[in-house]
Amino acid sequence: MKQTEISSERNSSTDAQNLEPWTNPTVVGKPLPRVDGYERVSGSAIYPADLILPDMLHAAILRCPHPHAIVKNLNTEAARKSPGVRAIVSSADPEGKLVIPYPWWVPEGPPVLLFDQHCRYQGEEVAALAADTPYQAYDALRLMKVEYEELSHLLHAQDALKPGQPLLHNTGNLVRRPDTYQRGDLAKGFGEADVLVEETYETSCEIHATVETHVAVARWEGEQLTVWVPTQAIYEEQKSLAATLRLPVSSVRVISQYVGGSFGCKAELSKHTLIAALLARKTRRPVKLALSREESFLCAGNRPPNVMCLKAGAKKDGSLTALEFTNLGAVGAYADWADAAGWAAGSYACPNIRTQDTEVYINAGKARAFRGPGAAQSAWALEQMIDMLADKIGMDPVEFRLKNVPATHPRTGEPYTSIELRECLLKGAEAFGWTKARVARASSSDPVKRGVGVASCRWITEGGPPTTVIVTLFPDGSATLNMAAADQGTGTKTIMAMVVAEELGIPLQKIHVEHADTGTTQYGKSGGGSHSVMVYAPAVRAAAADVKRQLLEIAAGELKRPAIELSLKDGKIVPVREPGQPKNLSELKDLTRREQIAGIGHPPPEPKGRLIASFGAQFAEVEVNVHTGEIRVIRLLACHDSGRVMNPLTHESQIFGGMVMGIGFALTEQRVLDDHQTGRMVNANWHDYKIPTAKDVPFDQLCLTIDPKDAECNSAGAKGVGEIGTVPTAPAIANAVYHATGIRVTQAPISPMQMLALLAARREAR
Amino acid sequence: MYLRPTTLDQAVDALEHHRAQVLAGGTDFYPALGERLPSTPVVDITAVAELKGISVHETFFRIGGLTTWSELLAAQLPPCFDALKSAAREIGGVQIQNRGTVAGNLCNASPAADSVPPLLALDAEVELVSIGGRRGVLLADFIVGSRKTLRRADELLTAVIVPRVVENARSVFLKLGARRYLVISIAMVAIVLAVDEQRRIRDIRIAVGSCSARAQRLRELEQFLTGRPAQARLDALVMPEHVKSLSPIDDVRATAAYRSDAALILVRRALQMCAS
Repeated sequence: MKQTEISSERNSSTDAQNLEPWTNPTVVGKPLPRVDGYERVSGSAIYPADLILPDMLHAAILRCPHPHAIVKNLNTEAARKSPGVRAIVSSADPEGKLVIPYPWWVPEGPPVLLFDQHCRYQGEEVAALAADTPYQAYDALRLMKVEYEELSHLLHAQDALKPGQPLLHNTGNLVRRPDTYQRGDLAKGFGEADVLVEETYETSCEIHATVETHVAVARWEGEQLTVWVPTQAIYEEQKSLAATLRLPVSSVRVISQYVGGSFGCKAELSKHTLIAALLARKTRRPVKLALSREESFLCAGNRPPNVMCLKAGAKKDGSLTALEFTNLGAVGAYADWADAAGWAAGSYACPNIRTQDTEVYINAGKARAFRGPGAAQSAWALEQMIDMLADKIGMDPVEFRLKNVPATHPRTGEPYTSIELRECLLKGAEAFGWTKARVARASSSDPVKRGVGVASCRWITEGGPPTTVIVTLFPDGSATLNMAAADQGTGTKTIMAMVVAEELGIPLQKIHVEHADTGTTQYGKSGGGSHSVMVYAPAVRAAAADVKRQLLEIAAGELKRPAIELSLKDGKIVPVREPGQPKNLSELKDLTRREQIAGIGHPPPEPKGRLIASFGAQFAEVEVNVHTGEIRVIRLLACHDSGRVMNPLTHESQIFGGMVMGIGFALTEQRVLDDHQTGRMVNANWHDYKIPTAKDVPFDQLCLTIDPKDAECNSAGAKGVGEIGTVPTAPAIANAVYHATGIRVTQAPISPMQMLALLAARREAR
Repeated sequence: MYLRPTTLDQAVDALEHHRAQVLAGGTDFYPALGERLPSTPVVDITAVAELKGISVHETFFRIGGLTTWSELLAAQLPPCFDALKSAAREIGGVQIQNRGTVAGNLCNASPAADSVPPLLALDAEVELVSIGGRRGVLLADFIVGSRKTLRRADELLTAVIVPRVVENARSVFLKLGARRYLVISIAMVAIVLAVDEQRRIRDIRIAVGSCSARAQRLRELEQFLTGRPAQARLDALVMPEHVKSLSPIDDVRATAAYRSDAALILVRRALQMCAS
């Protein structure tokens, strides 16, 4: 544990916890480059995959090649004798029966055994071994002899509850009781409608495809386990590892130095991490286990596929009267979430709503949280549905949305601390040249048709405790920021260093941000749910303010002035009345004697009776070649209300990154399972699973922001931005495709092939 | 066993005496291996200087087998090579283009090999050398099926020979994939079109890839178009029956039906680009 002198004077710290958002910040809000940019770009940053420990072994996992099978017999004898092999774990060992806990957001599910003889998905772990080199480990895996009894498999949610289908768990294929929500009177709402639309939408299973695959390095020192993992959630992993291994929590240390992309798939304990720990314990040597790209496609999470049936009604004036949204989602082989419908109930002011989410198991890798989980799928259906209604009553889609912007949260009636959805739609439409673009159409003879589309979005975020942050100031004017937030690539470290710089008036270069490490950083919420800034910025600010208070008290004693007459500027003490006579911190004898000042900060509780949500609208322009079905996104414009923009560069990275993901979701990304024969994934590689390349992303991308000057959400005035950027992109593209062609594509992704088939079907119908 | 000969004689000698795999740019070789080690001896030909470079002769161009796509792109070549250069730009990313070789692409004989349609349209011939001597085989005959060629295990593909017949003809290469870049094609078309003084089609070669086990020329369509004026709306003459000799398959990238449709559209589009 890092030894930190923590001031016992806590009496005035409450003030530090209840700060008003900055009015004229000098550092926060500036487009400053990443504090760890050089390390990340130059390769000097040490990711877990780069870690080499003395005597370290390399592990590899034997995985079931079938989507559904029973391991009848496993013979590891030849592998055990293979050169370099030091240890093997399998279902034959007592450890094989260890049960991996579900993360906190999945309340229950069938037990996940480390090595289950009943393999429920392609890639399920069967055994693992550690060897001197990775190649010896891979070679030895091939010597393991497994006799599988192949079972018939279930690949589609639509089949899961039909009789005669294979059952994945003895509780059946239903994950949990369907979640239903209702308000108003649906029949009455449909009766009041002037127009009704009904449509079924489908989204495909999308893979996180992080640049860095999952990795774990484990080392034991006595009964003390240290694990290096790229994770969003050091404390979640620590708790799960300790529970699984029946160790005191304090005996497990989880370190997340750098994360090479996560998007939600690195927030829970994975089997490979536990396997690395077990093999390290068996061999008493450090063990590294890095998943291959193929493994990460099969077993490291995904955005689950959804089938969504919608019926909606509206009046001629554009007001929504009723919405029915029924979703069926496939979580994969073990419990997780595949919801979508419930999200729609909170999107627009609609008095009569019924939503139902049903989730089922299928023989495929388990879903994990994926950037805007549920919301992205929900928006694909709902935002196209809104477009259909607008089209049917002949109203502009922007106007239609404006008509239905809710004043309060439609589900609970609670007010938002701020909501600028209206402004996002208006400012975005104007900057996009929406009205003009909506009218302009390509000549009928040109095979390339142009169109524009819009979609809006909302994402609820929660900040607040528990989280503890420590800021330490040294007499030379440098500071250390100690927090449990791992920077998953979003810029958290940069933004938090900016908060310290803002509060203490010291340059960014003199602030060191510690890596997330349960051994040295205090408990903090994980980086997920778009809440890192909302949780940590107020906490860091409070800690820095605590430092400042203590520092000014020291200075007041030495300068014989009341602390209130002193300020901290450019790392110096400045008497308010004599600004020309600043005093260096090193001149403060009491500070030098104390060696450092440590300030502690916590995020203040969430505002009572208020909800915090981010909002946005995105606009897309596409070209559709009606001869080949090719679709090109020509232009994207986002206008978002995420509260205060802490750093325009990192904010823009989030929105642009989200939109690029949205392009993939809309046009190319799809897990393809072999329906006809093997049931295996046929594109578990970057060759055939296509994420957008630089050439697929429009040069013309713009990100506008609206700052609601939200003084209620937290002391930073900032709301979440990590996930929302990807939510409306795909439906905006689909709506643009409709505008270009008159064809409503309900199934994501819109491949050229699907597009062409729909165009051909329309020709035949005419 | 890993051999790295520095002369062509040593290379073919090595192939004669070992049942070896040939390693050139490695851009297909290593991905095909995956995590496995090579099961046969490997003859790495990258140090054989005789296999490098492009030269112009009285009646033909000679493209050394080890010529990389980046080198081809940098070479000064007449317009009939534009299609091949377009294809070179589509082969993977820049790193792949720096490593991947002409000989490798042809010997790997993927149905989706980007260089094959443009070279077919140039009536290219491959030069094969073994300890027993040298022979030339038309590219159209050399690739016999998906990943199957006439190259014997003791032979090395040393060069591609392109006759100087249609040097100033226009040429176009079009490729359709699921995204814009770094993509295996769903369908691709290369056309080389030469006109006479009256702008009538004197010589036309149309090759389609990814739509059959091996890329192929559309000979009937070529004959049908020869002698016609190279003018606007040439594309309107192309009918679905002109591409019926193709035999595309369903796979992870596209269905057969979509491939047939796409091939027809690409042929029309490429023709229009050549004629206008």
